[in-house]
Amino acid sequence: MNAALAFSLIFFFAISVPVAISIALASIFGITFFSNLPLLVVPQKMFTGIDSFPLMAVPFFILAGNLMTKGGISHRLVDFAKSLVGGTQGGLASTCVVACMIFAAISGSSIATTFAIGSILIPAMVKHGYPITMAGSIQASSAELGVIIPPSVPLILFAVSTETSITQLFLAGLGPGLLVAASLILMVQIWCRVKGYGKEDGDERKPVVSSFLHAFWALLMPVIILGGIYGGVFTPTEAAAVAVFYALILGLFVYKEMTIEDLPDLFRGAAVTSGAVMVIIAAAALFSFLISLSGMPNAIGAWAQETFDSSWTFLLTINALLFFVGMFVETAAAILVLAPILTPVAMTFGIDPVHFGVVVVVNLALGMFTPPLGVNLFAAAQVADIPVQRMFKTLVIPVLTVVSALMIITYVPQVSLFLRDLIM
Amino acid sequence: MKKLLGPSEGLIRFTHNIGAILLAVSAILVFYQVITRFVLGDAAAWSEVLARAVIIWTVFLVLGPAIRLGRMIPIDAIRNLLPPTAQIWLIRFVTLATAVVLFVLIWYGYKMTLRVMHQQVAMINISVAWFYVALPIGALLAIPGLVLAHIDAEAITKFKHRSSSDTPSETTDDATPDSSEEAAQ
Repeated sequence: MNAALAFSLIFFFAISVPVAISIALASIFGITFFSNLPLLVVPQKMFTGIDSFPLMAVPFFILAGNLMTKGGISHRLVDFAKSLVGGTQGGLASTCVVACMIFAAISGSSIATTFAIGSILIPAMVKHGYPITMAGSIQASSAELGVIIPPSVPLILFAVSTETSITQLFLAGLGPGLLVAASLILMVQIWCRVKGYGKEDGDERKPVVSSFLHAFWALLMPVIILGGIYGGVFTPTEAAAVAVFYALILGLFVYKEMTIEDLPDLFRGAAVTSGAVMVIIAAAALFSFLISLSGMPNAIGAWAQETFDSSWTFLLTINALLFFVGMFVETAAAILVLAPILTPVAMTFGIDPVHFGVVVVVNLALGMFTPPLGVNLFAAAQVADIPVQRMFKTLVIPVLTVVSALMIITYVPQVSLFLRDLIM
Repeated sequence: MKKLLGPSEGLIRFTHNIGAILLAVSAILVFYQVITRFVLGDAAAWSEVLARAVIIWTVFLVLGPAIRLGRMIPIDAIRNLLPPTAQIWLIRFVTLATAVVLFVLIWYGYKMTLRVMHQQVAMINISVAWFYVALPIGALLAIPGLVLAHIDAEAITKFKHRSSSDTPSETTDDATPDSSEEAAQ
């Protein structure tokens, strides 16, 4: 059964059957030919898989992200980020990282981050003499902060599929997010000095105070969302619904960059995006039910205990595995299929599941801008209007940078856990 | 056959709109829950249950639109490297695979709905069958979306093939997976 499930899944993925259909079909195949279960479990498990209040944070954060991208929040955040770090050589590239970081704290998706920030900063970087491939690469890699810094859709998916606390994962994502952001800023600073780019990046820079006031209501949003969740005022799902209304009010009445007529399309877009993700979640719930029924986590756990002599070698193998998987497989599917299998194994090595969740998400986020496939790459290529392949060479630098940060996050659990241990 | 295409597009647009409205409704329900807790000091319990049901309906109603718009996230790196005839056969296989899954959801979702007919949902006293029936109905309404998406996919592949045989040197650009459209949201 295990082998049948695994091989049929990989086969369907490889021949371009959509992710959710692949997972459901591999499960149907396994049930029909390798079990005594009735096919009734298919609708049953798919239903119970998404009948969950915590999961509802996913569509709401997607919706809030759509509303924020349209509602005039992004360029205010960009101006504010520029006023903070834009004054040095390579300041515009650093602005890109910082703006993505702030946007990440109100959005749960890296694609939304790429479109919101990239559509402003890629043209701006090109105008200031950066090669377009470099601008695209910096944007694609910075946008991964969208899923590391809470709120984060992948962190929610990990939490739900492994029964870990979303709030704890949201606390644990913050340190690694800041570390990745710091590494990326260091990278662009060195990169610009070596190549001599971005010498006049400080032009048209606004003073900190005025750009802060200009962006005040947008900057208040992460305070409300994260503060509300961390302070125990809202559950993450409620915070996401509050974010939707806050973004609506900001876009419609405060910044007035969105009109009522824009809303139907924004809601239709968010409905399809969240529907596509939620169907994957439903199918993955069925799949992981079959996997746990067949005892795969125990079998892999026993094998891992024999094979790896320490949690270090185990984690290194996980890093390599997830790096490879992330290059090809869509993040949500990878988390939903692999997290329920790998997390129990990690726990037998004494790894905190919250730390493990952050490692998995950062590791897979790397795959979002690693060639050949990566959603951020396609988004950045679309914004920059260049073929994806042109960025492959310049991407080596950000990929290596984030790999180094990932190593620190993997082997120094305190980076993830210090905040949780401090608060909880 | 052609006469059915227009109404099919209309049906998909209709379910898409209903899905969008339901998403808004569920956000309102959860927001209402937050308000009741802060204002009345006690959250309304029914709003959470209802919001969950509404989201389930949203997810299965937009199944058709998601298939129609090619937003179901395929991993198409290998397919794009294949010759056009093979690509068309793969597209046919994908449609068949999707049809099998839809069929299982329709038939067994229907049977599951019958089975849970007498189970009541806590807090709102209606049958849980009202929730479960979203699966077979959503899958049934997705069939026109699948047919339309299939017709489009075959046509596009054939068109690409024709235009690339006119300019045989341009092979590398075709290897770009057209996932950028999926990323558009």
